[in-house]
Amino acid sequence: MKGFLASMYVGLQIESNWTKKWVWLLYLAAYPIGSFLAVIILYGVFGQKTGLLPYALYGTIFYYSLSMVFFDMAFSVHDDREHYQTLKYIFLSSTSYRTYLCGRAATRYLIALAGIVINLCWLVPVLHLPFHPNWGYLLAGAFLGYLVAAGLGLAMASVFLLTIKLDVDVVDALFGGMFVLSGALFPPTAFPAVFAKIAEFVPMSPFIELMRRAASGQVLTSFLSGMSTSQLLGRVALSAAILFAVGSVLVSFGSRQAQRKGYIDVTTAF
Amino acid sequence: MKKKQLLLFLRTLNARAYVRIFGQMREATWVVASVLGGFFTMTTYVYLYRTLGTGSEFSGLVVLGGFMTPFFLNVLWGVATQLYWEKEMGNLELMLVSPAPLSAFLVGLSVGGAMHTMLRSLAVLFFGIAVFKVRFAVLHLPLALLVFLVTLFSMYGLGIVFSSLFLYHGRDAWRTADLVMEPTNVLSGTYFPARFLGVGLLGIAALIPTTLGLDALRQLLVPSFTVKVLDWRWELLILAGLGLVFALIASWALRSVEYKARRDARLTLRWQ
Repeated sequence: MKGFLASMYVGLQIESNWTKKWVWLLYLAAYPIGSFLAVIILYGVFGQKTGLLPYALYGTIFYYSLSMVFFDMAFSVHDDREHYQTLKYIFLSSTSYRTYLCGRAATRYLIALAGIVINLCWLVPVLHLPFHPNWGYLLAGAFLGYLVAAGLGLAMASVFLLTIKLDVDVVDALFGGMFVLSGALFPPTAFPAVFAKIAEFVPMSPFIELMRRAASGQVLTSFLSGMSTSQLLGRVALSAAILFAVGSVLVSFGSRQAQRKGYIDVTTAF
Repeated sequence: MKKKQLLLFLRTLNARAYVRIFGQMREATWVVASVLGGFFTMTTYVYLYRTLGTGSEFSGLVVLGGFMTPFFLNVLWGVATQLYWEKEMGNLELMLVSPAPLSAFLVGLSVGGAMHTMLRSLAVLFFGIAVFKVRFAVLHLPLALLVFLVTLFSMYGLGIVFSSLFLYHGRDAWRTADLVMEPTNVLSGTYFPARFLGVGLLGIAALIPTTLGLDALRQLLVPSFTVKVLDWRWELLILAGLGLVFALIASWALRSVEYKARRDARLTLRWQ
């Protein structure tokens, strides 16, 4: 736990000590806007009659919170090894590398959630979004969502540990694909039937739908509407348990192999 | 410029462009991942438009936007931030003590970046056309190529302007680039006609060369595209003007920021 908290502190310093505190707070509030700006413009101009704005907006911002975790985990391997050249020291410390990654990503997740909360304070009244939160589901969903994203992030981090030239574009491509399929931006019923079915099994889909319902208090479309909110919570919990366990095993394996192959302190300057 | 200086400029340009073009080809995953990433983003917006029930011509607009996006990303992360990364890796001091001009490094970087990005953009365009059955009018293809090249000139000019800022600033500039990347991409009308932004936002967005460049390309290649910002001829003129202005600002900014960075001892200041 001490190592986890220390890693969270390191994460906070990396995220915030590049500027003054008040500038960073503005940055924190402004950063998520990029994730939903397109949604507001596109649904505002073309989709007013569809009534899908709340669906897309909630979906996009909650996907954004997950993307921060897995991107941070994958990128921190590259950042610590190539940029700050501190990966070898992290491995020498008494904290396990998995704990370090989880701690850093937890800070990133909390920062992303804080940004979402700040933005919902103006989005809900201005855009008349339905907002009848079920705090129990929201908190449980937020915790389980972190585990889902951390599981995927740990798996990606293990890949990055074992490859020295892999670009973060791979993470962008992978999670870009999941973004399309997860139904964050539009109901996957728009896809051909096969892809619509696959969309139900993308790990992020139930989390995003759970958070949508927990925040809006409504079932906004027919996507996953056959499942009750508690069933969705159960499915997110199952995904979280499986993904986090698999991610943990992979990153432990990746750490051992990377040390054996001498990949911990390799710099390529690519 | 004397002949010797010109030769040095061209040699530096060639050397930097070579690294950018061939270095980026050495790792197949980089090419595959960036093409896939662009394709997935394009797919998202094509299906979004289908959900919204807009006309099929919007698929064409999205595919053209997907074609230009890798260039925008290359300008931001491959040109604007490059001096920052060179500083972080310890190469900048070597570049500055060499007789080669810094501007030649950046022009070489831009030329090389544009060429290697072209391959990725063409792949995204190919997949977009093949998968979404998009048809473009080829009647004005030479004019479209001219607009495209002028847009690139303007975009990379802007990239070199920003690289000066990155030379002086550190992580704060990097964070700022990260912050503005998505809003800038959205405001430039990559995935929808820029005219829908309204006059106020459009005035700001027009300073991003992609906005008018994409609008002009859509007029020339998508016959049913009617929601233009200005006639493409005017847009071409504005883009050429913007390109020249950016080139002048870049030349001045690079000299003055390099001087300021030397004076304040920030050229070798890493991890800040």
